Amino acid sequence: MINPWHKRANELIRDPLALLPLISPQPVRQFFSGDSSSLFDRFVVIVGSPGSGKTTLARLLEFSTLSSALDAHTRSEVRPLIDALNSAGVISDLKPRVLGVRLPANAQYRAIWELPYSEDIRHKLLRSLLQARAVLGWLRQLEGERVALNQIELITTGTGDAERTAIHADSLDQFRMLARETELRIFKLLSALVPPGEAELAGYTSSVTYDPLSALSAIVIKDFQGTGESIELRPMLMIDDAHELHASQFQDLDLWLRNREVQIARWVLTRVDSISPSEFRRTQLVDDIETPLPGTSHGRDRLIRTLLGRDQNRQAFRLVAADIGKRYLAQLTVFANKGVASLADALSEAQPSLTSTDIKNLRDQVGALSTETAVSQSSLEALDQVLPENAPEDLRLAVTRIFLNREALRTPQRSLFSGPSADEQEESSPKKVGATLVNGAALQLLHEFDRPFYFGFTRLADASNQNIEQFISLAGVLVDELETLIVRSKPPRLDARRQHKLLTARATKIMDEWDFPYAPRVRRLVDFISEQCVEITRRPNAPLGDGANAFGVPQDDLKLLDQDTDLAQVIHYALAYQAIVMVEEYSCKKRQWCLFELGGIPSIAAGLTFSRGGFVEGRMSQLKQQIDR
Amino acid sequence: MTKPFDPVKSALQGRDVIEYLDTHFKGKGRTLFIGNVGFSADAVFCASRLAGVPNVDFRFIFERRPDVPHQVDELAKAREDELRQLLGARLVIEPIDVCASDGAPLAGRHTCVLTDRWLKSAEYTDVVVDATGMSRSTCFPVVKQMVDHSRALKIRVHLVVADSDGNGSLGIESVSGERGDWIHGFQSDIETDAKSGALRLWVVQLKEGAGPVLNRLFTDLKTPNEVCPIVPFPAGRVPTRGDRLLFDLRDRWIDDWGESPLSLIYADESDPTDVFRAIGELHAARQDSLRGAVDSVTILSPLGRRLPSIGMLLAAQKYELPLYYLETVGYKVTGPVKLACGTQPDHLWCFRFLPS
Repeated sequence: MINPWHKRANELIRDPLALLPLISPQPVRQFFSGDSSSLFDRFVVIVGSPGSGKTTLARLLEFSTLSSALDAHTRSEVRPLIDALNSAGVISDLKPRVLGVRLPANAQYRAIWELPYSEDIRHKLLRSLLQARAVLGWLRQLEGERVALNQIELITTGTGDAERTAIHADSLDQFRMLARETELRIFKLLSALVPPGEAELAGYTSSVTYDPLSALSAIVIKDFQGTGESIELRPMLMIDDAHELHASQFQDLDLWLRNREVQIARWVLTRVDSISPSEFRRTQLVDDIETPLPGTSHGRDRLIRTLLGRDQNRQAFRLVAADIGKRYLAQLTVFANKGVASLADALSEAQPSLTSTDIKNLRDQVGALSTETAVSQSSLEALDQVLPENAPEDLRLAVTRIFLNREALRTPQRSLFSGPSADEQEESSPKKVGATLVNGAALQLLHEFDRPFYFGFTRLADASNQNIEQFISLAGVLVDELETLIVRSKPPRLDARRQHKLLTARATKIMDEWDFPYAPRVRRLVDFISEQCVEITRRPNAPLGDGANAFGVPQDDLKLLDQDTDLAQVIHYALAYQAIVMVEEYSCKKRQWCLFELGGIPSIAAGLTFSRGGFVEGRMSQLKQQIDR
Repeated sequence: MTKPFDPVKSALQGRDVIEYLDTHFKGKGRTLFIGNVGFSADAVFCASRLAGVPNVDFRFIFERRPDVPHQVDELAKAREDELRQLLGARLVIEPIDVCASDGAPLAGRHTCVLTDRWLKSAEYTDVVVDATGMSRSTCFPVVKQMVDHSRALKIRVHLVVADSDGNGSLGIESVSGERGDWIHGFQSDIETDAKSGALRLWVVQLKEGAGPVLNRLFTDLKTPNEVCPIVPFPAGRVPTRGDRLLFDLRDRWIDDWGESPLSLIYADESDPTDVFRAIGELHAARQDSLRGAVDSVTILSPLGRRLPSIGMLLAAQKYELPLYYLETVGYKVTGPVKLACGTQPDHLWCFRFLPS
């Protein structure tokens, strides 16, 4: 049996029936919320980081997956998904309404750009190849579901016969043959060790003018599944991983697919970096993404949608993570037999405690500080009252220590022999101690006494950067440990220390295994930011509450990225692989900042908060210095 | 009718290669030597043996990568100086960008245009391709291109490779790109509609720390139906290397690929013909058993040490198999780096492709 926690991507699961129970309906509902019809009648660009679910979404909409889902619609784990797809208009009356095909824009498409021809011909070749493969893909999908060619009728947009004749719309055999010939011809150009010159392209005229998509509007299946009924499907082309195309190819694709005369549904799924660098950075501001704006040409021609981007409210992702956790656990018999249905139930939230020696040490520090700062016992007791009720003694002492250190900084320097003056006897009592300061204290205890910090389901979800694959990767190590406990007939519950240890080890391993362009320099960048953030997090007075996890530079410093391509490339890959997240135009101290916030994995590895907004002030030149060879 | 010359059966190795290089080219027609400016000591060995032969034109590629630490640049520069000292004005070096600014792999395509120009610049009777320091995405298309030309232009092609067990690049690790691609010229027709339903068998070399790369390749190849990892055995100076690789990469071959020890191919990592034979037998057996039932494709991915990769190249060339590869886009320095002295390599091979 497949252990989905070990599959680092849904792409590794070939069988649609095995994939379906793992797809959470929550992100599907979220994605299609609002007027979903606009997602099918115009060009849609879907952006997201690796692992955010782009490919899963595209695979879900492929005809073969939809058909499998409909076949399995009575299964309880698939029913919520059917419901979500129904609301989205992808299916209705338990029949598919779209004929989707996903084409990964792999290096072969990018290689067209390297052919020694004019830009116009290269763009036409790319369009032709995509169309040929879309046509072949649609027919393969239909045949895979036992639809014979003679059951298929093509509906075209044009009023005249010329368009139908050009693409052989009245003969499915010839329609397919033309697509195959086009694919093969372009393939020969691509695979030639030294391609023929442009002057020798005379035999390729039909390949550069192949354009069935502008003619096609619908595909009708007669006698669908032997019911005697006909169904009309909207053809859908999904170009996945479009960031692998050359920037000019991407621009041409944008121009071509925006054309409202193309009536099929057309999506481009891409990592954010395929958009221009400035647009790419702007998409980090989640609200800045284009939304369907009636009356504006942008919204009319093209929609840009993000998949679970950086959102201030993490609650939505926690729900998705909980649902995925449930679905994935249900696949493992060992958990089902033990009645463990939710990951949250198996991850203890109980606060860990320091050893008595460490607590004594902490108590002594607090005692010495209170004498030094002359804070009264009543003030300390008042502070104790405003701490969270269930906070254990070590955490209370750590918060008190921060409070006293803050007080020490406020108290003027005294003579060695004089006591406190009368007006210094009492300091203002804190009104309340927020969760931020408590977390700051817990992080200080982590660094000082190795007290566990990363435990509980909420922190696990927050560590995942709103990225499903990252969540699975982190949670997988906890699930493995739980499975071992069950096999050894022990209660399936992990205490805080074990969770923390496993998660930090996994985060460190993931970073050690980073293997993408510029990874060594991205690592240096991350290590530098981490060091700065750890220093401020560990400061006795916790000036930022729970510390920092970002390096902030004045917004104007970003101009350096336009001048320094080397630095821009390192930042580019750091962002693409979620080593860092960039937050632009962040207002603080009456200035605009750009924050380079560490991703969840580096934050765990360094022992930092997941809270947003705490940053170390610096300059872009410092980052450059770190990554320079 | 004479039987075509078999480059594998007639392969030369060790001292025989030295003797061949020292004697074969003297007094022959004009010879084109294609090499690469690498940083390992082995990269200059074959050129040095031919330095004294006046009718050899030395053409070297310099593979430019986007992210190379200065220590590695300095090593390559030192090797270049060494070559200049050895070959003087006969040395021509031309740079090739291994990838575009957006990270797309380019090496094979651009190199073929360059080597085509070199080959047509004079009337050559022999071409020596020195695979020692060359990236596989550069070397393999060049070999294919020269072998194709050998038939049409009646040119003798000699593929030479030198390799040492402690290959002189200790302290340097490669950094992979993020985009896999078919090695240029070895795409076969696998991406076309005709092959869309074919069962995919993937033969891949294992390599230390290659977990993420293997994952990427496996996903790119649309989760092949079967995987046969090549395990080095016997393995150079560390006899347990194969076992260690299997243990370190167990998540991949057991969990992700669902394979068992029955799928493993054990091949001598210092003998390209061993890998060649193993792939040949596997491919033939599969073709036989599936004939008439379902179409099948054997895909090869060179990843680890160079010599087994050469075996893959020979198999791909003979059986027209596709090769899928993830390019090295840079290096990281993990320890002290110093220029290794040029001694005789531990392993030397020469494969000859002669026009029939």
